[in-house]
Parts: sequence; structure tokens; C-alpha cells
Amino acid sequence: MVSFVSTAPGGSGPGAGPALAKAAVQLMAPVSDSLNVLRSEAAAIFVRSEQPVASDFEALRPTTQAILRSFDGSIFGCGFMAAPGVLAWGRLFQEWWTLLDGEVEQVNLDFDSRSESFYDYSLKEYFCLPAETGAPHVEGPYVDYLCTQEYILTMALPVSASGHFTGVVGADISLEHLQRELLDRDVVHPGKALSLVNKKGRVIFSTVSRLEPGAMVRDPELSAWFATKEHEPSRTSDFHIWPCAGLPWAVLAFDRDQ
Amino acid sequence: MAASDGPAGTTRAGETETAATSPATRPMARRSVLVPLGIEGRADAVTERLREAIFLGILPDGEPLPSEAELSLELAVSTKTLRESLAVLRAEGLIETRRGRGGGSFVQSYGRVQRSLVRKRLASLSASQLRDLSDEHRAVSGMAALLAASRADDDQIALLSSRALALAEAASGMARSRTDSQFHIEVAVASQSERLTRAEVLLQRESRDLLWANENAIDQSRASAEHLAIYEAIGHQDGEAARELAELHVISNYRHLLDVRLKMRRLQ
Repeated sequence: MVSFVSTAPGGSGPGAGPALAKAAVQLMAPVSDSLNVLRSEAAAIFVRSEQPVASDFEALRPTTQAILRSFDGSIFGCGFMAAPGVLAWGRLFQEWWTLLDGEVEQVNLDFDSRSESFYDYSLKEYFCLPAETGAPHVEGPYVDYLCTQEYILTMALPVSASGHFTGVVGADISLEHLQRELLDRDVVHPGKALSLVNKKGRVIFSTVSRLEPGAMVRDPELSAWFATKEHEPSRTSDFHIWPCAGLPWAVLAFDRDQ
Repeated sequence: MAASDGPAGTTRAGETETAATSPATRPMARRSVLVPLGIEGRADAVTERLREAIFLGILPDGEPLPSEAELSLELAVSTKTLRESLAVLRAEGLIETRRGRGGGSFVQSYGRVQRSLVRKRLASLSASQLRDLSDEHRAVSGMAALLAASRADDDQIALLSSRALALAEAASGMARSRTDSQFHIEVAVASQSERLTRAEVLLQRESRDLLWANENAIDQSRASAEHLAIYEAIGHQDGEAARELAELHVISNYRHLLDVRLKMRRLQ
């Protein structure tokens, strides 16, 4: 097992924060690489046909299913969701598959707005942000009570064809797995309080128990840092901030164990 | 990420708080309701699926059901199994069978069926069972509100606000029931707790129709004022106030139910 953590005396080396950030980026990279492949395939469908029909999206199945199987249970769901208005036959459409008890299954969510179980993905953060910014996003952790019933992260990449946003490809990622993998990478540092947070300040993972997953670090300086364009390492009066390249996350390294 | 063991306890996607049916039901997306079951001898499963189809309006009120031959073919079960489940639905009043010319099985009006089922369910609950349900609901909703006050992010606060307003504006029993339970489920989601959310979803399934689908429904303006107060306490990150308001809300709801229940007893 490779340790990314500095071995400075007392375990409070300055490398601990960047090491956790790097581990998080490395763990998420295979997911975004896979989604990039799926994204090209989805974009190609819109290039092949100006008015794709539902069956055209079946072309995404081999890659979608391969992604679900290759991550060995750490990805619960994967697929494509169309931008409202892009497809002629309906406002909402998805080609989405899940892995349940080792079985890969297609998900048909309820797109009837009169129905009680109506699921409008176009209002979800993982859909809206890539639609707005054209950049990938990771939502969460959040309790996904409608679909996986788990505490998850959703990574989504915008799909565009000839400059127009046509939807997102995404994956539901097990938070538990991410946490376990981070622990396996020896990121816990005695005497150093590290916390991986999303851009809302919500804790994804911590090396100290008092900053439990799901907790909020409400700090205006942190929000301001996330609002900057270039995320350079920085510090506030309470903690250092380390960027996680390409992810809407940061590692906070607290000066002392408060 | 590459990880070893599979996710434990994952359930079928499309799970929602819908089911006006039994808590064991797994609501499905509309189009999957009438897909073949192919499980022989599972009258229960067939019954559940048809019940679901009726509640979701896939088999609309007053419409004749497809013939037994067609239905058994569509669901991939034997006519014997199908007949068993039709008998259950008939006993529940969900379908009515008329004989003779133009006869057959017809879907009964949702609202009427719903009300009579709810009346029956409420009548089957004793005062202590109701109180116990209220105790559990207080524990879950109170704690969810407490945690939501420290953990809700801005988007969740905004969603809670719109959910609270939706109940005030809901114009039908179904809409009141739906918007009420959606508010409470979103509070649980904002608490970031998977377990509390699951518990709240189950409690909503058990309680929402008792509260709303009867002629003695709870007071919409009181309930929505209480939702707004809970939302505001969460928005102000005042956990203790949020918890107290959420518990008081549960208590008033169940006191109302108990009052209705006691009146029913006297009438019998």
C-alpha cells in the first residue's frame, strides 16, 4: 500500500492536507474517465441523428453496464439523462442502469408529473450545475431516498452536441466506498485534523470524529474561496485550504485539534 | 474507485413514499406495474401489483378490467392465481364484479375506496397503538428536525420553504397528503441520516392517509403553519426549537387521530 502521507515527526507534516486531496482526486479519476467515454458516446448519438429516438440510446448500454460491473459495487447507478426539450417525444428521458445485488437492471423512473413518485432530475443539483456551467460536477453526499436509498455522491458530466447542451451522463457513487478507500490510503494523521468538504462546506470525509460526514463547515471564507476561479492553496484563521484538482471539493487542515 | 464488496441493502430504484398500500409494497414506476410477474403461486404479488395499478390510476376509476384471460397473460400468472387476487381486491372494495350483459370487473372510485380503507384501518388501531405510533414518529421527526438545523444547506432550506408553502396551497386531499409527507421527508433528507430518512418514509406511509384521506382530516392551516415554523427554526439553525416544534406537530396530529378514533368507537 502506497502512503501519500508525509512522515514528518509528530504526524503533523504539511503534506497531510495535499496528500488527502491527492488521494481523493486519484480515487475519483477512474469514475470521471469512464464517464468521459460515456459522454462521447452520448454526444455521438446526437451527431448521428438530429431527432434521436429512444432506441438510439440503447447504444449506451454496453459502456454503462461495463462501468457498473467494473467498479465492483462502488457505483450504484450510471447512465444518461436528457435535457428537457431536446427530445421530440418527451420532456424527460433517461437511459439509466443500476447494480442491485450484483444484477444490472434498467431504471424506469416516474416521469408523470401528476404522479406521487414523479422524479424530475432536471431540478437536481447534479443536473442543473453542469447544465449551467458546462463543467462536471459532483453532488453530495446526500440521502437519495427516491432512487438508491443510500447516502451517495453523484458525479455528472454535461453532454453537448454542436455547442448545445443535450443532457448529462452521471454515476451514483457509494460514499461508504470512498471513505473506506481513503482510510486504506493511510490518510489519518495523529494530531492533524483533516476534513474533505464539498463546495457547500459539507463534510465528505474526516480524519477526526468531531467533524462527522454530513456535518457543515459554515465559514464565509471557505465559501469565498470556492467562489474564486483558480483554486490555490489558501488559509483562513482556522484552517488551511487545499484544492482537489478538478473536483468541487477541498481539504481543510485545522491548525490544532480544536 | 475500485472497491471490493457490493452495496448492502440497496433496493429497487423508483422507491418512493407513494404507497397508499401496505408498507411492504415497493412502489414501481408506472410502466413497470403491469410487466409480467412470472412468479407462479404468488397471489400476494399479483394483488399488490393490481392494487398499485389502481392507486396510480393505470387502471382508471370505473373502467372495466381486462378479461381474466388477458390479465393472466399480461402478468404471466395462471388464471387460478389471478382469481385469488381478484377475490382479495373485491373484498377490499377496490373492484366490483357485475354479472350478465356488460358485466365484468370494474375499478371502484379511488377516493371512496381510499376513505373506506382508511376508516377500516383507523378502526383497527387501538388507542395505545396510536400512541405508540405517535411516540416513534416524535422520536424520528424530532431528531430529524434537530439534525437538519445543523446540517441543512441553503438549497435544502429553500426546498423546505417551498414544501411548507405547497401544503398551504394544496387543493385536494391527495395533494395535502402528498405535500405534507414530502415536507417531512425533506426534513429527514436534510438531516443527512439515511436511517432517519427511511424511518420517516415508512412512518409517512403509515400515517399520511390516516391524517388526510378521511372526512375528519386534520386542519390544513394549522398543519401548514406548523410546517412553516419548523422550516424557520431549521433555517435559523435553532435545533432545539426545531425539535420541539416537530414533536408538537406530531403530537397534535395524533391527538386529532385519537379523537376521531374515539368518536368512531362510540358510533359502533
